[in-house]
Amino acid sequence: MRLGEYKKWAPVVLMLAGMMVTSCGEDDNGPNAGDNFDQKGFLEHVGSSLIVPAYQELEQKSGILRDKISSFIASPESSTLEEAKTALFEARIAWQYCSPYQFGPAEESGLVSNLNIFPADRSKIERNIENGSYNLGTLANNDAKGFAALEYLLYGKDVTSGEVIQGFADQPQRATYLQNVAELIIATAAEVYSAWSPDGGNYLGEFTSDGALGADAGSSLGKLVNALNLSFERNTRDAKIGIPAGIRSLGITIPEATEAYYAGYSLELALANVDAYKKLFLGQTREGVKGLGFDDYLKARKAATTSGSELPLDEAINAQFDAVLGFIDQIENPLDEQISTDNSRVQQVFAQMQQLAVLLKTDMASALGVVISYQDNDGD
Amino acid sequence: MKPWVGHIFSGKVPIAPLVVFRMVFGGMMAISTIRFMLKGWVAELYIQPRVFFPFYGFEWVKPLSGIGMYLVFGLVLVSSLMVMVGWRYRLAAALFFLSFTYVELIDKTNYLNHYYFVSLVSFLMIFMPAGRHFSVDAWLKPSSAKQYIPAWSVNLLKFQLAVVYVFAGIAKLNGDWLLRAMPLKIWLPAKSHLPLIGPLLEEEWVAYAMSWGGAAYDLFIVFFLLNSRTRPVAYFFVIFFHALTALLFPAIGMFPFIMILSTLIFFPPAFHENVLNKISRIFRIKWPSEGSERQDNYRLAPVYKWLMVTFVCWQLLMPWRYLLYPAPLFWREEGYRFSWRVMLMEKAGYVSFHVNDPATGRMGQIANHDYLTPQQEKMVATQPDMILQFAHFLAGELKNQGLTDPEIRAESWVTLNGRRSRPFVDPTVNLVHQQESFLPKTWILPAE
Repeated sequence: MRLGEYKKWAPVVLMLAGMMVTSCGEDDNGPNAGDNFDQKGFLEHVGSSLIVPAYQELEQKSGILRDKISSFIASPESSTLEEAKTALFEARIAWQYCSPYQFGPAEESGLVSNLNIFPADRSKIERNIENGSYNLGTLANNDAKGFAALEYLLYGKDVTSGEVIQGFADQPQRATYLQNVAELIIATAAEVYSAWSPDGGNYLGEFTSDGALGADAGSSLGKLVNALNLSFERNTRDAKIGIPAGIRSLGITIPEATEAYYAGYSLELALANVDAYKKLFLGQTREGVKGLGFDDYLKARKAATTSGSELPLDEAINAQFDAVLGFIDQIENPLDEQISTDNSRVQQVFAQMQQLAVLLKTDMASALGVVISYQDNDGD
Repeated sequence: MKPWVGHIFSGKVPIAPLVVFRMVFGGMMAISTIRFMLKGWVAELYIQPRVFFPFYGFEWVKPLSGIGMYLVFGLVLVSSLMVMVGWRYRLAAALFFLSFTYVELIDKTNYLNHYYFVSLVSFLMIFMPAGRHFSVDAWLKPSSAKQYIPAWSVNLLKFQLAVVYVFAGIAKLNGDWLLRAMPLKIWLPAKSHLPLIGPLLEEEWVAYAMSWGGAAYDLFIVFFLLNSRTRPVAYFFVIFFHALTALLFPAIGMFPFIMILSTLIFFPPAFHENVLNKISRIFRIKWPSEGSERQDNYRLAPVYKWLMVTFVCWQLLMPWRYLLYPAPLFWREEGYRFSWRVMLMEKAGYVSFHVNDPATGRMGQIANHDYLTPQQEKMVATQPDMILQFAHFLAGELKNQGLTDPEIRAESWVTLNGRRSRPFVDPTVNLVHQQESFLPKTWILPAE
């Protein structure tokens, strides 16, 4: 190119440069990058203060559950039954705090399938017990094991505690089944905890390693955000609320599909579960100690604060968590009766959860540059 | 016709650049196809999905079942290799164009600008004498070989590349890109863990510099490539720019490499002849003496001429069709595709489909993942035409389940370039009664 031709472009270049300078000077309400966020510190905090303790607690509570069930089987009476029921409740609460983290070891060990597929298939469980030969590892038995199966066996349908105890006395293989399900729970929970633990497989080290930083599909952030969204939509919003309330079946309610149909504490489980997501969002431990969370991450990215009246995204999401918790508080245990008597309030919970899912899956993921896709693909 | 116009079309130019382009293009397509198959995408994208989203007017294009899709990809691979070595060249180019384009038409979920580019280029190559030298065809039949070709073929390829770059540049001339440095202000900090450049990527000025630099690069690079004095520097920028995008955005796959190698077409014939000589030496190919150059008629046959003129006009007009639709384009996406809008926006959404059965008064919502792959779910959420297609698919499903006249409404939220998510389509409109057409969709809600 001759010099003359360069000159031709000079005004364009100067104009572009000029626009650039003025645009930088403008007070822009849009998101501003530039505030450094300690992503590694965030992952370390979430990994070592939230995820690993959650799995540790699950292992511990599952161990107690197994022991209490053994005691009950050894001496089937009302006091040991009550202790087993209490242990079951506590293990299930511990599970709620693991549910956002179904990636990595949890995924490899099939943690959800072994622990918390509900509703349990009563007739399948009874068939298995009757036959005496069953393989709890198969996909077909996903709804015949886990907490929901233990719950059915310990509470029974429309029977008294005495009848439950009598049932175990009458049918020795019933006790074996109970024991096998509990053993599978503790085995899987222990496997996952050990895989995360720095003393074991140290997935924590991998999760917080430099190679896993960033926001791409294979990064720790990518896995965490995708897993929490997938789990929130399917295991929380749909499984706990939407499906029993008939949202997915054209309004035909399925009260028996609630998480704790026989024990009647579905709402406590749902509240604990939403609390787990909220604590993850805020980077809070179970005890409420605050560290780096998604809220800080969003603050650092000054995410999505374009129009004046809106709350900043981190506050909006926090408020939406409270809205969900508030609407759950409005309904009454047992959830299946609430669905049968006044389903509209359950549907409201679903609507609030939907709104939360929108914020988590679109606004938050987008602001952090995380691609929501459980599928590997080229893009442009 | 003015002399220079005639020269662009029927001037006599050496065949070497076209031959190198043929080999590079065929080779890259073969590698891309193998990569695609190894990643398991044939099954994932074309066999497993329950629903497909064909383009408007191409609803008759359906995937083959099971092994059939593998055979199609086999055909894409074999024909790309045939193009590379120049065996039955014209047939190979036609087969490649048809098989590749067939695959792309099956599901717009997988639409990528560079797939569109590949379809266009392979279409053009059917008409080009790229197999007349340094090819199996020329080896088998030396009398068919040529040293020179009419200039239109090489120029048409340059034109096509110019269209890609310049329109990609024009597309960047918008407020979000230039004045808010969006979406780079979101995308770059997400890469701040990278060694060396990482910390820079969190700086706001870097997002601005790269937005403006990227726009300038796209707008002007072709002109610097055309000029022999600036070409070496320009090509250095081509490599630098595309290497940077490959590093920052690994998800764009083969695109940077396709552009880096395709732009070699701008280099002079001597460069390409050199390349061919080197290849001959490395592989110890001895070429039979090719037929002495006859006095060929380089004038374009009228049917070709009109085909090419139509092609050029279409290329120049397509990217502007969005002007016929209400603004803003990025929100509504009417006239968005086939316009070289590459890596231009951060858009994400969430859509729920509400079903109402007027006969019984029963209402519910669809679990999208029962029908859609994750990729399809993502695309449906932000693209109105796909929302409509899926609603119509659902209506069919529900009718099969016994509902006589189901109503389907979409409740959707979309975030664009970091703005808070907003309702995207009118949740009161029964989509079953809306038809796809080229007319603006009245049920898309305003962006702000």
